[in-house]
Amino acid sequence: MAINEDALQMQSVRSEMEPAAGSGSRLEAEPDQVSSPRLTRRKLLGQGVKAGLGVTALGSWLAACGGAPASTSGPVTIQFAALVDTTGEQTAEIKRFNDLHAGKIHVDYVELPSVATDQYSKFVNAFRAQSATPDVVQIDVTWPAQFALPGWLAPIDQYVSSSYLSQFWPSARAVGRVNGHLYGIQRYMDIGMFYYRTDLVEKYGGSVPQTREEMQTMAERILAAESSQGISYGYLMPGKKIEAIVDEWLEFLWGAGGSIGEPGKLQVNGALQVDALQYMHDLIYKFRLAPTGTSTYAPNDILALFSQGKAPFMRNWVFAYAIANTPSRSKVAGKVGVAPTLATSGHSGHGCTGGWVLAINANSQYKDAAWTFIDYMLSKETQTSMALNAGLIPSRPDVVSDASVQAKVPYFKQIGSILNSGQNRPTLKNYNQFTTPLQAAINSVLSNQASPGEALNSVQTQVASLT
Amino acid sequence: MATIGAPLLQAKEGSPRGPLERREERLAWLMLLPVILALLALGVYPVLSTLWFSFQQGGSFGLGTTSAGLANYLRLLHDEQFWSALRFSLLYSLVTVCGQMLCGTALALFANRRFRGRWLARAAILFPWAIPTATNSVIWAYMFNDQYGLINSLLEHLGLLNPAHPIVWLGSAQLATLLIYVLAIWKANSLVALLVLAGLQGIPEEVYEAARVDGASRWQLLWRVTLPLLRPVLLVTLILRTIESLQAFDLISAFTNGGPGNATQNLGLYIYLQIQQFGDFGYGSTIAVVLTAITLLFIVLYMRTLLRTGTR
Repeated sequence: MAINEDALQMQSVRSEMEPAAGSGSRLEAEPDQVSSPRLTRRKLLGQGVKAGLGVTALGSWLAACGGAPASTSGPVTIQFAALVDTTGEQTAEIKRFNDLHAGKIHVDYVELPSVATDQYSKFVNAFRAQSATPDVVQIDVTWPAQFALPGWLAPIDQYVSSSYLSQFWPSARAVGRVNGHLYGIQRYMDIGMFYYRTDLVEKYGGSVPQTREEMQTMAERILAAESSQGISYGYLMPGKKIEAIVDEWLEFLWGAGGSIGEPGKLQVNGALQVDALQYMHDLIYKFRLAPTGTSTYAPNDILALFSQGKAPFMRNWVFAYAIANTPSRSKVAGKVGVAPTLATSGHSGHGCTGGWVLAINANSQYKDAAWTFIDYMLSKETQTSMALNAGLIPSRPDVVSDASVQAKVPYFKQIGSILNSGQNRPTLKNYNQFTTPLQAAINSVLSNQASPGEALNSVQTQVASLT
Repeated sequence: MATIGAPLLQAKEGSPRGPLERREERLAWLMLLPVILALLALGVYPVLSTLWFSFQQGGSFGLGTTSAGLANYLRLLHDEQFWSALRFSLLYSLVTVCGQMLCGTALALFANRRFRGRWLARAAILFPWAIPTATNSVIWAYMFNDQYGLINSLLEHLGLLNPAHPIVWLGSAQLATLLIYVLAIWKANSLVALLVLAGLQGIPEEVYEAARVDGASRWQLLWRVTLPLLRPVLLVTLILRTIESLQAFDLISAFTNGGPGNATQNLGLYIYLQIQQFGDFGYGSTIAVVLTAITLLFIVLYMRTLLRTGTR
């Protein structure tokens, strides 16, 4: 059906162009096309997106196409667009919801590619086309402002009280707040953590390093004494030109008591900012604790080195924990612990948060039903199931601290305090405009092409006025 | 399309056009209509749309833009990243196209000789071209990884490299640029070889025999017979390679993503950054217009050379 609709749309576009081509006055007709390209493009785009997002339900299709009043007697069908389900848990959660609300609300799960930028393009295309579907979207933590400021997301203030919000980690309830309104709540968490080898920490002092100095001292001792045991590096961090290096830099900055300020007056080239980047550079070239190839490593690459037992310490995301502790994939399984990211003395470490947020499409015709679904996905019961069956970290402290959950997922005992002190990246209309120049600048410092001061100064002019 | 239509129209000139011919011409246009419409929709419209966007600013992903006049073009003048990307693009084209033409032609001359297993050599030559570019790049990135890459471990086994101090190939601007050149030449010289080989097989043996009778040496055969007769093929290949090298994207994107820093960012990556990452259709389109203009300039230069040799 979607294909037929597209064909019809193409015909109408053609008929607009035909007289021009037939009369031989093509050149006169073209400026017309140029001056009103948006209408045509949007129409075309709308159909394409609806087809691309896999509209299956007839009802929502008609509602989206013609604005025909939706029937209120039958069950309401809403679409939930989120990344592909690899464990089966998400599908199971949706099935339970559909059984629970049989006859009233039915949720169609639209699976999106696992690559975030691909999802981003799909969402932007759907929102630009003013599509009424998908109704509920699961978006990256850096997207709420990008989607809310153009009016693409519906505020959810009327659905949530402050006591409702207090059920979530501080960063999880703040991440969807844009210009005083709430546009979404985080469903599951990711966060930067300090990974350490429990056996080596015990052997060389006993207490887990919390500051840069403590880490350095211990790493140097371990490196000196354990090189025959395969230890080649002291500290591993991602350094490739990707998002993770901005997050790593932010963590060093936050851990020294610094911040980059508020949107509209961001500052990336102050003394603490430069110092944080200088420290990352020094870890490679001065203290020689991090590999010289750091500027080419992604989180996967350093995890491979860590899992081979080549370093006592590493900064990485949550995903690394399960892999580093799986005997078939790691030589150090069972000897890996996690702690907050490094601080300077007198301060505490704050991990940079990542993860996914649930929000409602501003053009959705079923916002109440959409919220009912979000509420269900955020409930303690659903999040417990998610933690146990999909291995994801809930946005609710009461699930992470639940004794019966901790009995099955022991490392939840360690990550409670890490999650509680997590910090969000800036909420910006276009986060890419902030992170892309920073990625290049930080990477050029880590590859020894520029000094931290000059690299960050050049970024400052580009990001200072971003909102 | 124009080149196909031209002889048709020329043939008609001079003869009076009867009703039958007019009807046939109408039919011809009618039958061409789908193609013309497709060209308009897929070729002309995007080009004009890009041109239009280059005079727009603001908005997000092409929505809500306002007229910018020449502001985007003026912004180019002070945009350091643009100039470094332009420099990289031009140098990349120069080095890789020269490399591809030289290596490709040499390969073709080699594969054109008669020897046992020639078919195998010819198939092997095409191998790099047969693998998708992005796959090539990812494989190369693994090969040149400093920790577990093939190249470093090879050097270690040969005793040329101390494992404690691996070469960080993609962490150095110079080395990364060099590797991109090598990868691009390795990747496309097989296409050049294929085209040149086809040209070589079109040269009749009699020409060589006549030259040999006149006492030409092997070098003279190459310089005086083979290469001049290959000239049209070489020029077409040159045009194709130049266009593609100026528009390069996937090779660099998957290999270095413009890094380290922005050292290997070319115009293609910079356009992608502005349009896809920043949603700045106006400025991204402006850079695209500049890239198109540069490409057209090269094509015109080549075409003039080609036509001149054709009439000589």
